[in-house]
Amino acid sequence: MTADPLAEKLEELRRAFDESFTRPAAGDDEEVEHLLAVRVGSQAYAVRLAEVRGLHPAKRIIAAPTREPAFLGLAGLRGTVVPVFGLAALLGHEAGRAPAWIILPAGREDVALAFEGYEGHWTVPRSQLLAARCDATDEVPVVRFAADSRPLLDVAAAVATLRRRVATAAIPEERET
Amino acid sequence: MKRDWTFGQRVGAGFAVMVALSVALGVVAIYALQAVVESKDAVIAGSAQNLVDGQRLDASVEWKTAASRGYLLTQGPQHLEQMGEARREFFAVLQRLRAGSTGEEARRLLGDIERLEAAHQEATDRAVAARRGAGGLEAAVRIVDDEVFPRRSALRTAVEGYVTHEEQRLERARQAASRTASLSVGLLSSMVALALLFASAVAILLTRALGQQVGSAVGQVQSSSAELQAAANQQATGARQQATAMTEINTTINELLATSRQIAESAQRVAAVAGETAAAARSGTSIVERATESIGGIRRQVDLIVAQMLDLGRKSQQIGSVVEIVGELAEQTNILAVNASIEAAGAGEAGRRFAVVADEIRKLADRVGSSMKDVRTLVEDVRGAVNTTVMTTEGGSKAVDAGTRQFTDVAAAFGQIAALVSTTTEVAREIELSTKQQASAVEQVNVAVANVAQTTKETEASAGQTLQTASQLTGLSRDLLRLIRPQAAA
Repeated sequence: MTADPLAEKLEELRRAFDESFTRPAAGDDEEVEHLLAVRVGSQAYAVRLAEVRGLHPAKRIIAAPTREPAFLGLAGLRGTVVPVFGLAALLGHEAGRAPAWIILPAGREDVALAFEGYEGHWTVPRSQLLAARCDATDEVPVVRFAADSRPLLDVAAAVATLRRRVATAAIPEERET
Repeated sequence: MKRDWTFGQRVGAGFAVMVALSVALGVVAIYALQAVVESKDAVIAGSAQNLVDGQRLDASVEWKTAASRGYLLTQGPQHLEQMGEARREFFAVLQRLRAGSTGEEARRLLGDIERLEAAHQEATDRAVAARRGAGGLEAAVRIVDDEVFPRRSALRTAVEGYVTHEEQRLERARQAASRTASLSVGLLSSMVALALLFASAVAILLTRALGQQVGSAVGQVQSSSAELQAAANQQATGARQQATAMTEINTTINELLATSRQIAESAQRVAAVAGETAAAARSGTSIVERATESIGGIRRQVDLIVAQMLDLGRKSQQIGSVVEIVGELAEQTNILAVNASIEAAGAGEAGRRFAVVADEIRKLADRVGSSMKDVRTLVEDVRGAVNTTVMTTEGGSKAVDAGTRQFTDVAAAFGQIAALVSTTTEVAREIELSTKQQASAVEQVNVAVANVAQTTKETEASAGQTLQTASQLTGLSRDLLRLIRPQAAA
């Protein structure tokens, strides 16, 4: 007799919940890396959780006039108004549908980066972080998790690139003034 | 001669002409005969009588002379009476001769005779007187010799002259009668010749006309007899074929008779089966009525099922809404756990244990989210199944409706079947009765066909006789044509 799959699922959830209390305290966390699996445009990326200050749904982005193509508008997050930039435009991908998620980079950067899809939270052993081939100018490491394999997005580097672009765009205006 | 005259008219006209000619010929012949007879009668009654009377005159004179002589000799008074009687006869004859004579010469001669007789009588009277007188016989003889005899001779000569005159007249009358007879003979001969010519002309015309007419008719008769012969042949052939057909019809009618009897038996069985069918139809009607009631109950149950399933659909939709809420909560919990992990990482060592809890919460939220997907799928399946069930149930409801209507129709059909079976029973009985009547009629037809077959045989024989008669008629027409037109018949 085949058991009810829903009941089995419920039983599995109950067991996992119970087992979470029976496992010992976590030991050396240096061996694992916490990652966010995201989708920028149509490209999949992994983002280190350590490089992120917060993950939020992009519920409302107020558009503002700008010459920066990556600038999507302003959003209110936890009482703070931050500019939102599209990662797709920054990384040179086609945006496709409207971005649904926003991450706040770690540190004290007052910008938010928007992307199209949040696919989950991965806990990956560091051994799964593979160095990319050095045939390109940018050395981008690759994350492999289960059967999936995707590049690791350097949020700090993206913010730096954004900052440079914004600075480059602002200089002629200052000179003009 | 008119061309549209009939055969009888033409023959009658020819005979009428011939009769007219015969009548004319007869009239002429009678006229000629009467003329001859009259001329002969005139000769006989006139001239011959006159001639005889002339002789009688002479005889009466001679008788008077003899009487006078007797008186002279005997002086007997009887001789005087005889003399008177002879003289009366003489005058009677003379008177008749005068009445019968028409010519001047005859009247003159008769006058001379009368005058000479008077002279002779006067001489005779004187001789008688002499005989009575004194002279006696001698005186008387002298007177006789001297006067009476010469006067007697003169009288005889006059009488002979008259007789000669009458003989000549008789001869002329005879010759005139002969000429009249010859004229009549000639006239009759001419009439006969004319009649012969006319009869020949009429005969030729009649022969030609009748030959053409009768020849045409005979030709038509010949062709008609040939057609009659052909028709008789066809009739004989047809009669033989008809006889054969009659035989086949007789056989067929016998089979038909047997079939009619079988039909009558079958009709009886049909009537019995129809009665049983009527009972079964009535039973079926009650069964269908009960089934209709059952279907009504099924319909009510199906309506309840439909209502329950629609309610189940609405509730599964509510479940889907709840699942959506739960999934959203799980997702928000996941986000919160992620952010909690981030915050725990930022808290350093103090947040390590909290990070573990947050990670567990995140995992649990992931699993809940995953399970919510399954639940959403299951709920969608349930909703799909409910929709399918509702549609199927509605289809079943419609099928039940259709079944109800069909059962109603079936009930009506059973009623019709019962009525039709009743009608069938009546019809089967009528068929049985009709078939029996038909069998009787077929038997009568069989008898009639036998009679017709006999008649056909007689017709065949009659056709043979007709054929023979037609052949004889053809031969007769050929012979008749040969009689009329030998060259055409040859």
